[in-house]
Amino acid sequence: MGIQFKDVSYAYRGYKVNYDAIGHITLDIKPKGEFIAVVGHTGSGKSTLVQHMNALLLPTKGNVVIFGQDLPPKRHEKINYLRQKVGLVFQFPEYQLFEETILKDIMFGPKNFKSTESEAEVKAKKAAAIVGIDESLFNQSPFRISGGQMRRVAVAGILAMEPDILVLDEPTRGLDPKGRKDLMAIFQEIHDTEDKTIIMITHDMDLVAEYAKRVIVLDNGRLVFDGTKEMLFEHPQFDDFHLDLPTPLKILKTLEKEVGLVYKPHYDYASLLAYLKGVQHE
Amino acid sequence: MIKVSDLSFSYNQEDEALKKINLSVEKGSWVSILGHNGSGKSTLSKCLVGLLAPTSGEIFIDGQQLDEKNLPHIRKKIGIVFQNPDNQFVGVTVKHDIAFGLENQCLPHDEMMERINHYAKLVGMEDFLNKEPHHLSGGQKQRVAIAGALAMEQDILILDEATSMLDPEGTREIVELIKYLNKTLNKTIITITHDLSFAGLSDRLIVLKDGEVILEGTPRDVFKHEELLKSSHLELPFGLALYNDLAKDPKTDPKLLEALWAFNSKM
Repeated sequence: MGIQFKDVSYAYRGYKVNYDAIGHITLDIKPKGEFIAVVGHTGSGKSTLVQHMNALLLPTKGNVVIFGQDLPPKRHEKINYLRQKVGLVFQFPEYQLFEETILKDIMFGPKNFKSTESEAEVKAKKAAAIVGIDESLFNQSPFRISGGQMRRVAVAGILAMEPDILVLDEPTRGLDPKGRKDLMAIFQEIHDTEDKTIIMITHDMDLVAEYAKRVIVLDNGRLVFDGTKEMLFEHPQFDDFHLDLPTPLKILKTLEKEVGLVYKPHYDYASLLAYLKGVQHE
Repeated sequence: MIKVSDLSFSYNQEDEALKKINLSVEKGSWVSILGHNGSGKSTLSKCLVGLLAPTSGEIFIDGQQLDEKNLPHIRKKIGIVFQNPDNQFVGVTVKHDIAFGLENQCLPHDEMMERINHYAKLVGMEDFLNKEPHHLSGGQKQRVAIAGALAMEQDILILDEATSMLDPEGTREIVELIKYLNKTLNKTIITITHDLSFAGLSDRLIVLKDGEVILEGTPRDVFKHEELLKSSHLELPFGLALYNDLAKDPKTDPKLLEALWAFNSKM
């Protein structure tokens, strides 16, 4: 189960010409326990790829299988329910807030998937608690809270649908460092406690280094790497991917060049600090 | 030069967004105003360009007081670029967008075209003059917005979170452009930001918390106050925190520290 891509290509239809966004992608994503970062330059096909994961786009060639459902569907089957199973948080999701109150906005998703008013309310309140939106805000307008809070309300709207897999398109873009850290802590918590698979598009290699277990690299619509983050950042041909290194590795490379420090990959703050101190004390 | 004395501003009667701000910005310098969301930094930038009138206190720009009477003169000295590249693109093409401010000044057509070409070239967008905004990346749109502001030929440019919605590549483009404007064209630059590594590139920092100035100085001095910054919801970036932690250890090789500082000073 989970999500499988079998030689998937997608072309946007343009005026006169069709524009190939992704080509020949084969992937297997497990329904539980994955934390995947999707990286690549602007225009490399990241958003196109993830929009296949809940049937917002259907492949022009090849097959996507989501929890056993073939896409494009073989017969005239309803595929709407897949959007509840795989929750997609768009870029700047706060732009899509629209309801009169925060609680109503979060309830919109579950109500669309046939929850009764009271069921939707229970789910919305649970989702609000996960993202740290206090009850005292429930009856306020979603437009009269801070940007960071708006983002969390929008995320709660997806969580309230209780998706099995969570897909995030640049979830921290435009947030300040504190807001970024708080929001990532929420996703980490969901991943840790519910073992939920999370797929996240990002440009921020520091987020990749800190949170992701597996990385998918797209370049010009092609899948050029799929493996663990350690395999990626320590890849002998890493430069060919045209990606930035995460800050800790950049620091280590600089120190290797400037003061002759022995380069050994360390991904988190504590282990890098311990390594640098250890070297000094020898 | 800019001088702000005892500036206060409130949106409503309950609380003040800015509380008796005092600061000055030297001609030709690059100053960053740092603060968390809601610290009052954008309110301050709007006061500086006369979009908001202070509740009390005074602003002087090159010795002229910013008030209703002087506003037309002051607007010729100070320009602003905002955060969201999509919300401030007003023209149908790059050319029209850069022309917007100039048209409002009723400049002769020839001079207008000259300035458009000149400033489009300066920000590296000369090949895109007839392109529509949806053909441009975020960094490119932001460079067009900067060209539009530059075309007004003001001495002071404020950039309010001008990089926070851009990807790393877009951010690097804008950083290089800011350095050029400041060092080569000698423009006074004020950047409003919550990004400490970006702010660290400027000459001087002014840190706001809840509408008050709590720290001021060179990046090196300000970044030493890690706890105070943290209490203002400003977290030191990875490299700066590492620098501070290693600097506390007497056994750390000064050469390694210097290399680490140099690393932090570029993006």
